[in-house]
Amino acid sequence: MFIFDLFVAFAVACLSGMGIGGGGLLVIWFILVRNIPPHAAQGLNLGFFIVSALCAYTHHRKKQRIPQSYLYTIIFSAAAGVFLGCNLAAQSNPAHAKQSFGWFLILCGTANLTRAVLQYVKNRRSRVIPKQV
Amino acid sequence: MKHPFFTPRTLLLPILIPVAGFCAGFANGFFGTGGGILLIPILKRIHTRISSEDTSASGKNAYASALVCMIPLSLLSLTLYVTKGLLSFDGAGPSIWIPCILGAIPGGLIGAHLLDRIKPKTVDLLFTLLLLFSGYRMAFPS
Repeated sequence: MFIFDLFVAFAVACLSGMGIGGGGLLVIWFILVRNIPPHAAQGLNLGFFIVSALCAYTHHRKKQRIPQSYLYTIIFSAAAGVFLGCNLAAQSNPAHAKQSFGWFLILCGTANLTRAVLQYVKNRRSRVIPKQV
Repeated sequence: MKHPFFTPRTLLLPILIPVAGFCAGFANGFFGTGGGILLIPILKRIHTRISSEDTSASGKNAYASALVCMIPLSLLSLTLYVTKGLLSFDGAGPSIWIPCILGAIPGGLIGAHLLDRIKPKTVDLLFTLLLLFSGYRMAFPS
């Protein structure tokens, strides 16, 4: 099992290192395969993300991919958002809101995918049909 | 890299940037996930507006920037969740977290190198698939 855990962690860390994020893939692995309680799985996933992201950060910094101009503004405003969100989550049950947010993400994903497919079809057509002079 | 902040293309950025950060942080704090997902498309737009580079490079920079923004946010979320008792590490012993850490270190480094090598369209497609997957997990919790 150690090798499987290592392989899954490595694959998800590759996605995290690219900046795409793991999409909670590791949480599913922990809960469904390793039978870890959901709260512990989410905690581990967050800790795992921090480690893999810190490793990736060293490379992105070397490649000068991170502009400093607005980074701190985003981090400080997001920290305020985290405080508010955590306090609200502790006082209320965010299950319904989480479901709505899930639908919102599905909508965004479908729009992205549709746009990509349309772009692909358009590119193929322009390649196949010769230009008329 | 030059960042011309006060041109017609970038006039709304001083408002858009903190609002985007706040929304991403709120999603991360309230839902426990989703902050990075919100941040990436917004950062892509910001990057294409303020950057003089080609769009493929600015798109990749957006992914890298979102990753860096998410490090302190995840740390803050983790701390707040643990102190409020919403999260615990009970049931996750060394047999679980040791392989995770051992996979996370090379995986993070290789993932960062991969971002340089693969096509921007492939990165976007991977992101879209993960977006759909995350959405499905949230919309249909089992």
